[in-house]
Amino acid sequence: MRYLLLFFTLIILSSCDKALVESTNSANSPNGTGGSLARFTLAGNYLYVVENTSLKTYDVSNASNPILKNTVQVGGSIETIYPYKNTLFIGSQSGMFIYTIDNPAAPKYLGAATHMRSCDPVVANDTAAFVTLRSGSACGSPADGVYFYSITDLLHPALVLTLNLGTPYGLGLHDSTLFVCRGINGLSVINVHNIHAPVTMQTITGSDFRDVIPFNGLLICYVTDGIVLYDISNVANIKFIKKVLNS
Amino acid sequence: MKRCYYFSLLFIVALLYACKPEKTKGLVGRVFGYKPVYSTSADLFIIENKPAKAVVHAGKIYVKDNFIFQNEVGEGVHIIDNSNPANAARVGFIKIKGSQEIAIKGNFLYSNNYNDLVTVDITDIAKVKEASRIHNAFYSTNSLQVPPAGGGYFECADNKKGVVTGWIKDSIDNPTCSN
Repeated sequence: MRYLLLFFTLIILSSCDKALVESTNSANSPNGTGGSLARFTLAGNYLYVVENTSLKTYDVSNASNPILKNTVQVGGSIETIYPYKNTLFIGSQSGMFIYTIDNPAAPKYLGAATHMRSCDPVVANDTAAFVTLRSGSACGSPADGVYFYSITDLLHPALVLTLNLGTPYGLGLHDSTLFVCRGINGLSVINVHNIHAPVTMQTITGSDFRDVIPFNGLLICYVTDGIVLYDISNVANIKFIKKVLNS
Repeated sequence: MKRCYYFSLLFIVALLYACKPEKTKGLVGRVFGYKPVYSTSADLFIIENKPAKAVVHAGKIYVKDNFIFQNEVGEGVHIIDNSNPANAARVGFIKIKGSQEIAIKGNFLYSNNYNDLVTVDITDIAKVKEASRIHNAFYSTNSLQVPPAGGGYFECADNKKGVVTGWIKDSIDNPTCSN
């Protein structure tokens, strides 16, 4: 009886494992991962490209031969695109635009948060979107900070709070940890499990941080003098691994 | 009297037309400003491997499996072998002139080769080859399409003259583009 129970437990565990991999689709996805400053992004069999004012959709089911399927006008001065599940988050100088790709060949506008003016990027998860704004750039944002939006209603993103954080550039999200590049002021590691009460855990200094990609327990950082790798498998104990210098 | 009225009307309309183009056409005459530098060299569209080299103008990063890619703005893509992060190192370079963007699906890398969307077969990362391209897929993705920001009026880029590879300050006539 005990063995039978163990056997069943093992079966259940292994089936859970499989389901998890399939639903997150990260391990077996043929698509790579970009940073938060990207203008090209892949979701499923489609390549999405943001130009100055438009969003172009290319069918890449045959990966060697993209075919233009759709062009939609989004708005002025687009800078970045970030995919999350069936949603595209577009960062522009006039705000954040949200498009659904339920029909992946024809992205459809859902909502926007346009009350700020900046040109910095967006990352998101199921319930929240994070946007950095940097003053003193050509984009004319009023003050430095990270904007936290509730996106439980994608049609109406709601500003929850603004975290005062100097000189933010690109950013990355790993589970409930937000990494914010802050130029020469370092890399801030923020617990955003409760978006109403973010907790800054630490700020790593020593490089001029511009953008990050969290990837399989690794944080890949683009810094002005190279690429820095950190082990983030335990975010309470982030470990430096390597710096690949530019020259 | 009535004839005179019609003549006046005609005259006013003619005047309006004469004025119109000048009012909407930017600066008039010879001024100092940015002018595009064109190239028609076929070499600009050759996609090929190059030895690993130093990063000069660091650009965007991208990760796929055991490789990290970093754009060298306007020149191509650095390849970093990350199979063992503790020994991560730059191992090669893919020449894609005008490039600023990277995305990878399976064995195919997408980038912009100036204004073209180019697809590069990276099945063998040491022996990449062009798989396909869409000519003039985008303009504004290519930041070389406009001169450095805030320069005021500049000579509009004419893509029939070749690829814009840079900008110089010179005497220009009747510039109509501005930023």
